[in-house]
Amino acid sequence: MSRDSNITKIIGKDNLNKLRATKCLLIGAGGIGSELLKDLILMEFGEIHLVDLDTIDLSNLNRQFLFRQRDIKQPKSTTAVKAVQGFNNSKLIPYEGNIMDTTQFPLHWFGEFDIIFNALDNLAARRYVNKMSQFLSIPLLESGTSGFDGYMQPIIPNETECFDCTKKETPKTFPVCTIRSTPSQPIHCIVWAKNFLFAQLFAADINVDSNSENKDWGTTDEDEIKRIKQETNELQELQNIILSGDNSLIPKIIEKIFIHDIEKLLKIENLWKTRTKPIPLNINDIKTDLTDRDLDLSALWSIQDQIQKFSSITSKLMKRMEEEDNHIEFDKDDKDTLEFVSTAANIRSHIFNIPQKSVFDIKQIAGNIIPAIATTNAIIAGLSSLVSLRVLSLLDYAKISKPTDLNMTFTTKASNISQNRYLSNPTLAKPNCNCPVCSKVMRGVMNIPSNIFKELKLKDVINILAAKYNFDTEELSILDTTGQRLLSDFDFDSLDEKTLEEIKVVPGSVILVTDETEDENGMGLKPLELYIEAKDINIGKISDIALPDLKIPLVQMTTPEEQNNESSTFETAVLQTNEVINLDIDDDNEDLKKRKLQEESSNATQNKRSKHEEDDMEIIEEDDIIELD
Amino acid sequence: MSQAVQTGKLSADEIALYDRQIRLWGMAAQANMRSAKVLLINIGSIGTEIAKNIVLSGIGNLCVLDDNVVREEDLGCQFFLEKKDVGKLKVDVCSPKIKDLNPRVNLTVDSDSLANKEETFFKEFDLIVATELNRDQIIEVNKISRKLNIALYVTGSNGLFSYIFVDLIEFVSEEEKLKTGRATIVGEISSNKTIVEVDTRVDDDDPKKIFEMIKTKNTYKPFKEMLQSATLEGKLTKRQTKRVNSILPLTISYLTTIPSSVEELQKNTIATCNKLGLLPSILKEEYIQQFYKQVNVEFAPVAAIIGGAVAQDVINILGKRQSPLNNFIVFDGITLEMPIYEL
Amino acid sequence: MSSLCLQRLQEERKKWRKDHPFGFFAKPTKKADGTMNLQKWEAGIPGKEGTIWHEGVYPLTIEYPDEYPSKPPKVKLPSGFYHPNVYPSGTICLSILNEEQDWRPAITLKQICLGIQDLLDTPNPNSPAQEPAWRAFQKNKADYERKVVLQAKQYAK
Repeated sequence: MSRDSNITKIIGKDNLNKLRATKCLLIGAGGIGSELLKDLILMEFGEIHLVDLDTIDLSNLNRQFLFRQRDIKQPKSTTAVKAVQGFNNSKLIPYEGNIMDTTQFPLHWFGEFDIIFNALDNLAARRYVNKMSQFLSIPLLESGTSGFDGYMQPIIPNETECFDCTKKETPKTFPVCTIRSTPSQPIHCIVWAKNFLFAQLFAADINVDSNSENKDWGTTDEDEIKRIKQETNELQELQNIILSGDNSLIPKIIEKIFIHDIEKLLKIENLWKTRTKPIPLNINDIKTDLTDRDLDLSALWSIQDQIQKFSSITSKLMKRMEEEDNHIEFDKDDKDTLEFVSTAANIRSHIFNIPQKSVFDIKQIAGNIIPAIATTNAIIAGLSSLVSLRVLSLLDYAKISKPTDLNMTFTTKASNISQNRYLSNPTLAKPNCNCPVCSKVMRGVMNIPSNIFKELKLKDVINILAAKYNFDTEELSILDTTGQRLLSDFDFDSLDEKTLEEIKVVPGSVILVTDETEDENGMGLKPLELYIEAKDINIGKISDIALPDLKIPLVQMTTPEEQNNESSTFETAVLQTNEVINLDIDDDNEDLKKRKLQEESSNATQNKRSKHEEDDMEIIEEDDIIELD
Repeated sequence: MSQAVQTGKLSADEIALYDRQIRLWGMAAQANMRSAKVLLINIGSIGTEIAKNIVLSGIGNLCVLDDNVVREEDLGCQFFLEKKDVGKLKVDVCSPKIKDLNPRVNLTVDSDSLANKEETFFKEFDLIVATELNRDQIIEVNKISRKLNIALYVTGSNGLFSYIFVDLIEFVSEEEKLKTGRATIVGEISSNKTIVEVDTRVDDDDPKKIFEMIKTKNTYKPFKEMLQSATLEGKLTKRQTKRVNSILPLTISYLTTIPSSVEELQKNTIATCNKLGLLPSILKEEYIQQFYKQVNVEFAPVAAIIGGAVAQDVINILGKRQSPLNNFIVFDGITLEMPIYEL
Repeated sequence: MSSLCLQRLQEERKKWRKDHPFGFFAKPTKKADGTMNLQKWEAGIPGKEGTIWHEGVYPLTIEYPDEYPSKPPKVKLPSGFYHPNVYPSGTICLSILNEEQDWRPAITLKQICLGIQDLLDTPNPNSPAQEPAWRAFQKNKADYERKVVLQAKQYAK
């Protein structure tokens, strides 16, 4: 018996040879990525290209089994490739870099792969890779985990739902009013401490123009101007204290934010008609003990300890401001910034009669930490590698007649959705016809000789596009999607005479071209998204520009005003998660994500669920323990 | 997020290392895991995955019992093994690699045969995970685990198909879940599970959120009894009965009697269907063929899924959270279906 | 940055072009590189005729987050703007601009502008955002109106 005898029994000799000739792209060498790399190697994939931009951290080691204590701070991709050498038989190529870097990873580079495995930890990169898979029609196996929850979804471009066909959860935000005036939960105080107080004191631009004499105050009333100036200047004053480096002024900061500001809020009686009034700190509690003491980070501290710690940390940060160019960003792994935010949040909680939290807990909320474990990652990676056999048609006895026969899957037992199924495995849905990525636009590649970017004018591009696709030049709008930059439209032509180089339309840019002409029924030409690629020919001419041969259909453009309600908006149900609250997307962990159930999309004419899935839904209902809140 | 009541004796280093999972199951569960003693019987493809997962997560003590030597075909599905290891004792090859995954774990290995092990050997363990055993071996280990009141997980794979059998004898689990709609009531919820207590707790942060703390008593059957008397009759709806995956009767039939031909497998499995209260018409021809072809075949992705599921349940019961598996799970690597049956 | 956000903003521009209320204006701002920034707009809201606000056209900045239209845009008047529901920073406290309250993805720029025009003359005393204007509005109407008219002159059409 040989190394490949087991897999040969499962897929056969011919298919094994096909697998050995398969070139795959694995994006991410973290939790799911480490697991996938192992699985794909043992399955004998011919070539595996592994991309990751990250370095190894201590908190990775509870699940990323290819890494050790000694590897901390080393790049993940190259370290992973070294770690698997003992059992590896495939050709492995590691890359350190961001998958969205168009210089390192241009579209034609993606084009070399037969299949893409996503093992990413953030929404932006997932969306980007999904788009690349759509441009090139390469199958994508998308996956993600968050604690006990995980999902895996095969995406077959044009045939099945793409990543953006369903609405994605976005980080939770809170009304300004709640954060600034009427907090009622610990999270409100943490957001205030991190996004307002810390940002204003340590990470704001120092050159605020509020002192300029000719500012338009919106009033000529001297008293009013004085009052407004005072409001805006108060923050400036706090900043000045921080910048002064004068420790003796720290009680002033505490007095201002934990006494005076609260007293001001109390004056607005309407706020407290139905709410518990906050109680400002007692001036006698403010002491100037700046010794840095070590306290238990997983315990709750007394208010005296909070104030003392707040003072000593502020003093420490003031000193650091001098050394760090007057700018410190919040970082959950920077103990000083974390303890500043924790103590400030807890003092505010104390004032508003809200439960306090330990530094350990606040780190999770403020740092947007998502729990991650080895087991869920192993299961999801196993499912992703397993389904690739059917996506690549390598299981002769389980051939699919159409891509929507493939299964996606998500955890149900561990996620408390079902007690009698470990996983749910619905078949794939067809693309959502309202999907902004795969359905609302046409897609193609525009090849431009690399030497003419510095002479080709935007106007030339408009004319070439109009000639090729029969667009009306007067009604054409051109957008650079990479920076949400409008380059030209009916009311904006001042850039038309500029060259592509001047307006920074470069290889890797994706432009959205829309002819805004509509007939009386609101029908118009479907928008076209073009990926700009550089063609390397010696001396290229305008006539060497290549555009895709597409027949652009007429579609409903804007929705008529009277129908403009929820039903015309892109919406589908998502399963909410109760565990973690996201403050922003600066996350270095597994993306917060839970897989939606296969709900009917907003449009009844498509997305007809297959028989199998209908059965699935009914089974869940029989279980009677589904939670969709 | 459950905050540990007693932070145990977790050091700051441990808290930093296990940060991402402590945030899931709390410090108390992590401390419990550190004192646990687990016996892993056989370190094949699934055994490797289980060892990896529980060692990474910080299980305190692991003993690996395996008298096999490394074969050429093991290299294609077990990532601890290298070409130069062929012919050596598996435990000798795996031991330094397991240790390297997490030096905090107290690891022992044993290359003695399972058949030589007396009852006293098993006494010190809290939990046994047995892989790649045949019917008689499972019955033997289960006899001891029952006698000593030790939790037992048994698992094995047949190519794309796999199973997990669980015998925790009796286990009361506590879980917390957000209350939505009507309240959970005390009483029997299925043939093997009874809710014995429901308490409620208002969320600290958001008084609108009410959590239910549910105590569920799980009862289990020994393996031998399950093979003899297992039935699904009265446990599933008619529709569910029709949709039972072929892999369930095939696995039960194969665990009961090893057939000498595919025809015999088919005959035995039809009989199993009848015993289980299933219509033989649920059996799919290609599944019978493939199951026979793939018996005892190991496959890395399937091992990762099953090893992940078993390790997760081991961690859960040691940390005393979440309802445990009960009691027979099959996995179909074609459709990715993974039903849980109470047999 | 989501495709949905981009496509929707383009549609907002087109809709505004086809139909917007008299006396209002709204357009994307220019970036330093000369292109138009679809995520940040400027607008002007005229005070309603027959109200103490009528003499002014009030400048707004509208910033669309990447998650738009799932999340509402951030709409601001100039800092220090005198109105009970406007924070000292200029941020407007209005339910249709709050994700947790009445924001819906279908709300258009036109509806937002009209909503703010309405709010100018019909403040909501239950969502105070600044102390002086709120206090004057509750306790000293004459002083309140005097200041509003003064402010309107400052932003005269």
